[in-house]
Amino acid sequence: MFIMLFLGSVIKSYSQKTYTFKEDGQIELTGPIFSHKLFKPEVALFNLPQDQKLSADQRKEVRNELAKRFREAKENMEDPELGLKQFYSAIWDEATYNSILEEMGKLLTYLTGTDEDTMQQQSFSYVPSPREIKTLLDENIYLELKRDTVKGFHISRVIFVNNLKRYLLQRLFQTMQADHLQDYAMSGEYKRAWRELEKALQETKDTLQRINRELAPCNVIDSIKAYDKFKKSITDLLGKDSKNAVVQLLRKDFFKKWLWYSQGYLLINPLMATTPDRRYPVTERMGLLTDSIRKKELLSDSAENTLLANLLQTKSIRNELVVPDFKKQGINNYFFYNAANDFEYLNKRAFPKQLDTRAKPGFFIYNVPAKEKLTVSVSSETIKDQSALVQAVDEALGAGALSDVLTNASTITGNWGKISTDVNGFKKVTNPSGQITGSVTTLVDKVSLLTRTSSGWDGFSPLMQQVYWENAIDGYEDEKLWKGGGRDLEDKEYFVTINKRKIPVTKNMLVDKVSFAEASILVIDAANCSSCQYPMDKCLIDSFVIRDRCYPMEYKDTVQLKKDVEAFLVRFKCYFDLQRSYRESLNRLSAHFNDSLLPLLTSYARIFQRSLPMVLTRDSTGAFKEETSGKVPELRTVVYAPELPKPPSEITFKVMSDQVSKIKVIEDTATSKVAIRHKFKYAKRHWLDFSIGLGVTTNDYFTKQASGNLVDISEADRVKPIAGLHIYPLGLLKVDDRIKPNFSRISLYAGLSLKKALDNFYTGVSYDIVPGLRCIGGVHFYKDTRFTISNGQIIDQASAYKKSGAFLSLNLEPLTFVKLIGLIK
Amino acid sequence: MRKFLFSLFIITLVLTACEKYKTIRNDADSKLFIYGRLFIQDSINDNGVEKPLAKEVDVFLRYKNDSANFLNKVKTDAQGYFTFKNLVQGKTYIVSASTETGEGDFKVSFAGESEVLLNESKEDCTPVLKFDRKSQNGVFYTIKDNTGGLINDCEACFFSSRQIWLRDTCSFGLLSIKSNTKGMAIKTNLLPGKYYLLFKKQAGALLLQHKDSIDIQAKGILERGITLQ
Repeated sequence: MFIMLFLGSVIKSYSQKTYTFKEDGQIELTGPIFSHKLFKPEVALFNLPQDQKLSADQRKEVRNELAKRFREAKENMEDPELGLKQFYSAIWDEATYNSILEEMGKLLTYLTGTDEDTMQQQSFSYVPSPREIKTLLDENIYLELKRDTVKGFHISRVIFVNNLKRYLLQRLFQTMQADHLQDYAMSGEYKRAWRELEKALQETKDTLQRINRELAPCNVIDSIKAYDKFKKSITDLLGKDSKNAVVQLLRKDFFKKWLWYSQGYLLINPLMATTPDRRYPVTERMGLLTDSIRKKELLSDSAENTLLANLLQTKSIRNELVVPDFKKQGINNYFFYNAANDFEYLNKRAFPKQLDTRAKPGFFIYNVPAKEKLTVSVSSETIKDQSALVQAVDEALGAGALSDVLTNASTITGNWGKISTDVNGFKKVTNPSGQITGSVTTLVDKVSLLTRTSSGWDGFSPLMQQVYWENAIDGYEDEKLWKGGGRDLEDKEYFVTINKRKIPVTKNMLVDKVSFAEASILVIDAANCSSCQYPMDKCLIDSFVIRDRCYPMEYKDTVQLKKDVEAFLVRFKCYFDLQRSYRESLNRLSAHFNDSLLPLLTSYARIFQRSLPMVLTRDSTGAFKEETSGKVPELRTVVYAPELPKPPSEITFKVMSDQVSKIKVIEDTATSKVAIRHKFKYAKRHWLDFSIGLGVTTNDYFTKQASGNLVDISEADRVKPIAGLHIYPLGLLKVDDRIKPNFSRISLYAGLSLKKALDNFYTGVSYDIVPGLRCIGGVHFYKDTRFTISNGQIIDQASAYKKSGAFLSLNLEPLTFVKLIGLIK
Repeated sequence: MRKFLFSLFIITLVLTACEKYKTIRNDADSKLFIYGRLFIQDSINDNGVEKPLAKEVDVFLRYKNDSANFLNKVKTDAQGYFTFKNLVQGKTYIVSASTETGEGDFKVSFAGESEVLLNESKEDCTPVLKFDRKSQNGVFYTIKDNTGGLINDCEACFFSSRQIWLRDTCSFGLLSIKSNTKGMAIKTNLLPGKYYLLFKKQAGALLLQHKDSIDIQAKGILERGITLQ
């Protein structure tokens, strides 16, 4: 009865084991751990995290990540170097650009503010509304709890739901529906439109190059008409009435609604992942990208890349808990570890130093990351099935020890696949991987937009402009030019004053023309303004003087010279103005191409994500059919139930991890570190065993026997060598060296005396102080004979066992006892 | 099944033995003993003073309530000491012994016994053997003259025939005995029956004579005193 009550209390106390998933999805074990009931299907195996929503810190983190994205988008759109304002003003209008910026600013204020309830009623056209973000933050992140039974194992999983991914898919679905983007296909028209834009960009570059080449020499030619025609064609291509499919497509609101997510850059496929049929061909030209970059970037949105799978995988197995079906797996000794905490041993009781053959140990290592490979090693050494004490006595008495080493090693491997590095499911989305973010940044860095402004008159130095406009032309007046009066110039040295500058006349017509032309446009002192500083002007003057060589200059008198000089300067001015007009026109064209058309076309061409967004469809439940669940748990339970070697043996159990940097060092090997190591003895339990020892009876008793004097009664020896049988109800584990109390060492004892075995019977209870050293207490019965005597003759007699009293005995195993007696003798 | 039957057999055997053990009389059960010495009080062949019986005789031990059987007998040593061992505590034992003294017609039996309630060993058990008047039969005469003086050497003749006895002669008698110096004439171990006795003392010319008739039982000494005339 006592034993039943005891067992009942044990079972009751072990019946409420639960596993709890912490907020980060790791398993935390609570409650008693040695319960078979734990593994019955009707018992709840674990609890979901108490708070299934994002914690306050996580909400803050998500808001910060979203705010960061909005901030980046806003900064990029406002950066004049990137020219996004010009681009978006061109394809939409400036008011739209400002509206987008304004909404981004408001949402940024909302995200960085502390009060989540403000602005809840506001709705925005181009960015997610505060209400949507709040809903996103409030949704459960652990929604599902699945249980499954596979091959005798109960598998329970906590499913993490990436709400941000789901929101992005939802937004993609809605925005595409609104603008019918699902009707667009990767058609020839779409691809031709891009080719047309690419071609226009290239031709614009070429044309601009030609214009600049024409502007390079001091003489320009009249080619404006041809350039104007080209300009018109480009303007038509990019204009509001453009028939280009891409230009038309980009005017849709869809693209305005995703600028916040794509960091301000316009992308056809903002999520950068799509299905193969909507992927922009790698073979298509992308003028701004090199072949290697183009291949890499274009492939990034293909189905061959994990990007799409990653995006569509909105659910992942955060942790997989595996426990065996006790009946099927037969595991009855459970040892628990937490890999997330240096493989902490979780059992309340220390790891046993010995196990019996009934034990079916199971090692359960929780929270093992998918990428972590564990290797298990089980080695064994044959030992004697004795306690250390008995073995020591045996060895001291001459018994040898035999040992064989058996080594079995097995490896736990699993097709764990590639892991996800999501910590809470948001980092990957709100802060895209380096590849994605880096690609955008790289493209922006390489494409320099609107890097300069022009004020016209390219090719003229500012000083030259000043001279020309303020002095040379305006100063051309008679009273200023001629101050010497009309006199014969023959045999005289004279000079001509132009613009208050006196120019000596050399009578070398070419030299003088150059001097006169220079003087007409230069007012600054020649000493400070040598012709070498103005090669363009000098080139133009030289060129004109050569062209003007058919007009002679006669050095007869000042009047004629004045006329000749006047005529020369009129011709020079005419030539100069014409050149100025040509250059001005070309410069304007160049500026238009450079500042307007080329940036615009570049902005189009810079859209490297030209694949069309994937078309999502809903199923009957409202979920997207394309959604998938990750099949590889981020954290898994490694279960190992080793086949133990033949007993008796001493087993060394090791678990090694290939993640050598994260765990405490127990033992180093070449490529791994031992995370778990246990050494224990493994042997059979003994239900019956024999022992020999010295029994001491506490009371006197007498023995009788027929003799010459009829009956001889003598006092028996109270100390007798006895041998007996032990029955261990719980089974004795002999290799258990502990001295601590252990119920399994209690045995029922029945023994006989070695001498006159049938005359003495001992029965009682025995306890092994250590296995093999037995302390016995009980009752001693001896054989008593009654003699009936009559007339000096024994006429009858009968025997029976009679209690003499209590006895105590100290026994050893037979072999040990015999050796000990032999030693004493 | 065989093991079961064998076990059943052994258990039955043990129980049967135990059953007999419970019912059997236990006559030896402890280390208790009775130790003692025989004494004799002989007024026939001796002076009648109680003194140790210095010879080896058998001493018998029996339960008080069982006079028919004795338990054990031991022989005393030459000084008359005896020991009974391994007796049962609480039992009342009777220690008895007998011996014969005298020669010829005066060889008579002496017997005595002691009762011992044995709660602990008895070390001073001293049965006194006295003239056995119960277990032997016969006749014990004390012969005096008319002055009361004891007459020794007086012949006592036994007759079974009254007619012969009336002839006043010892001739043709069954047997004859003589009195000792104490005037005692004893004859034991007679066949039960009626006897006629003729006492004659010839002292010179004086002849003293007396006649008597007795009935002898199977047990018991008939004690009579006579005066010769």
